[in-house]
Amino acid sequence: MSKEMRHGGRENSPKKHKQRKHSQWRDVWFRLRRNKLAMVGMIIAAILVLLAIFAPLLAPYDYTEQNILGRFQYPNWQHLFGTDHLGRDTLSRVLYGGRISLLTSVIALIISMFVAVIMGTVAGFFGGTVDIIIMRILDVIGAVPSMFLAITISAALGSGVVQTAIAIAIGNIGQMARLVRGSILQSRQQQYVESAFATGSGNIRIMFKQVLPNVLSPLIITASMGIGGNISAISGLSFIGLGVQPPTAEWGNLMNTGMDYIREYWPQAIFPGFAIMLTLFAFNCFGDGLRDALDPKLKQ
Amino acid sequence: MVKYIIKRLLWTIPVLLVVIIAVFTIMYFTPGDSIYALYGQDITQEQYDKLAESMGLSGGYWERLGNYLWGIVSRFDFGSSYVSKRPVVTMIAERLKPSLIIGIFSVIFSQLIAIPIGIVAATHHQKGLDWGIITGCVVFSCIPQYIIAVFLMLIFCLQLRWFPAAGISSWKHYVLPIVAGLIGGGVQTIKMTRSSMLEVIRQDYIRTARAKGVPERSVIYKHTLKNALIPVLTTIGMQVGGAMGGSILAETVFTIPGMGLLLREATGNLDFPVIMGNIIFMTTCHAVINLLTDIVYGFVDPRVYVSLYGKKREKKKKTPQIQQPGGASA
Repeated sequence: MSKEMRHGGRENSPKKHKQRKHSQWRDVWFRLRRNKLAMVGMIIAAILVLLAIFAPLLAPYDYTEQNILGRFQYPNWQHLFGTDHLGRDTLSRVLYGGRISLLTSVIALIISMFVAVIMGTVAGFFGGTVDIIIMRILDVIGAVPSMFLAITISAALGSGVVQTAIAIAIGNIGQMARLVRGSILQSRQQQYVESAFATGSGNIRIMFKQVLPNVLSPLIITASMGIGGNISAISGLSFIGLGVQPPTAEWGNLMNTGMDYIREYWPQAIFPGFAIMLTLFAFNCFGDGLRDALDPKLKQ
Repeated sequence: MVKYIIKRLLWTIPVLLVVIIAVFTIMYFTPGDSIYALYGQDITQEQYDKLAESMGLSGGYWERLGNYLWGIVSRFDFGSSYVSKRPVVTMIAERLKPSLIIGIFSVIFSQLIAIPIGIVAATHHQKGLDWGIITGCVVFSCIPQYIIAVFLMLIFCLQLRWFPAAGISSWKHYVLPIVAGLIGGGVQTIKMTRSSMLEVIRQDYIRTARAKGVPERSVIYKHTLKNALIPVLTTIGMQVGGAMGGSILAETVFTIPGMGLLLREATGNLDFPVIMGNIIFMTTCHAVINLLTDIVYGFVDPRVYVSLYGKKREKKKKTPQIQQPGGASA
């Protein structure tokens, strides 16, 4: 085959060449940009992440600074969210709490994704006995209601960011691993995988090069939806006194402390609640939009 | 059919067994000594051993696991609480009622309210009402159950003083926890009913029904709804699971002495028998509900029936089929 012949076709049709420049991700971004709710979600989520990262610079007060004389202040210009039972600035505490909530949520997400991808890939790719064993393990994990599982593990591991993340992550593994396994099984039957086997590629190579990329978009969707769910679960766990515990500020335990005084003074319990709701709103909207953008077929 | 149900039931047993063993193992290796936690650090070794003996804490892992399992299988004995010294089964039985009332009523009410709303949203597709309902769903799906509970308590108990804030002494105490519980599940059901209705409305047989002049009411309520409700049914099973988890948080807010609060107290005291009993009980309920959902699902949807049981449901009256030579049987 001569050089001209190989390139001839492409040079004759510049239009086709131009189309190729559009990557899949550019299409996704284009679709996402048209979804207003998703963009609002994305912007709020980005702001929340930035607020969490730069909390030390943005917080008007030190979040541990106590002022007993000025406690239980209702929102005013000095303390936008009021002060708590020790006179600490609630806004600063909510900002710092966001750091822990988001961090724990992301750690939980990473742990569950890591384990789920390994389990799902191995199960889907090799099938047979390995598949059966892994699926049965997931069945057992899935049999326990996730909040109860999280409480048990959290009670066993004790409090702390990583421990809470693990407790939440284990409950998420089942669903994610099933998802990964499903898409692997699907792509496993494609012809390009068959031809990769035929040309003599090894298992590992095929797994990473041919099969795993297919899992990427469902995984991104679950991840973006999962952050909100994780935050809700983590703050719930901290709310009942497990999970992340004081003096570390976390939205759930801020609410929990606030509940002790809610009869006389509401801002301490309510503002962390608003923060949780706003975060869930941002990540859920963004996740929904991302799902529609990545998989336009799903949208009716 | 019966074979499938028995198979599922039998499969539940090993799952529960593994759950019991797993929970026991987690609890066994949990750092933190219940005896020291209960009686303080300054008890003598002799007292310690005696207490360990009486609480069933002596012996190695296998011995204790064996005792625990044997107790459950032979005497339905889940041990006794370290704190109150009472049998776990009695404690759970006492705490069951409030949780059950809240759970059942919130699931029932959420279906009763959410399904009509979902139908309205679907029949007004892409009109103002639909957008309103969807926006409401988006907003409410961002509020975790316990935050709803806190808001309800703040507004209706502390500001308006319509309902009492804690306890279970009258029906009034149950109103807010049930409302808090039904919102989360309700939003899910509205979304599900709406999307499922919209999908069915687009089917050919609905177009046929309209083309042959079936009144719109009948198209929506007979043709569409019947088919659209089938997937909604499956979410009810999931909602019960969610309601059980959420109940812990709602019970904490309203101080309701239910299963959730029991578990919370037990985790605070490292009261392992109570924790284990609670988790095992909840897991069993979860498994039974899932099984029931699957069975009901199979009965309602002939397509699922075939995929589950492998053959068509037999009609009660079997018409003798005339086998035509060479012809395909129906």
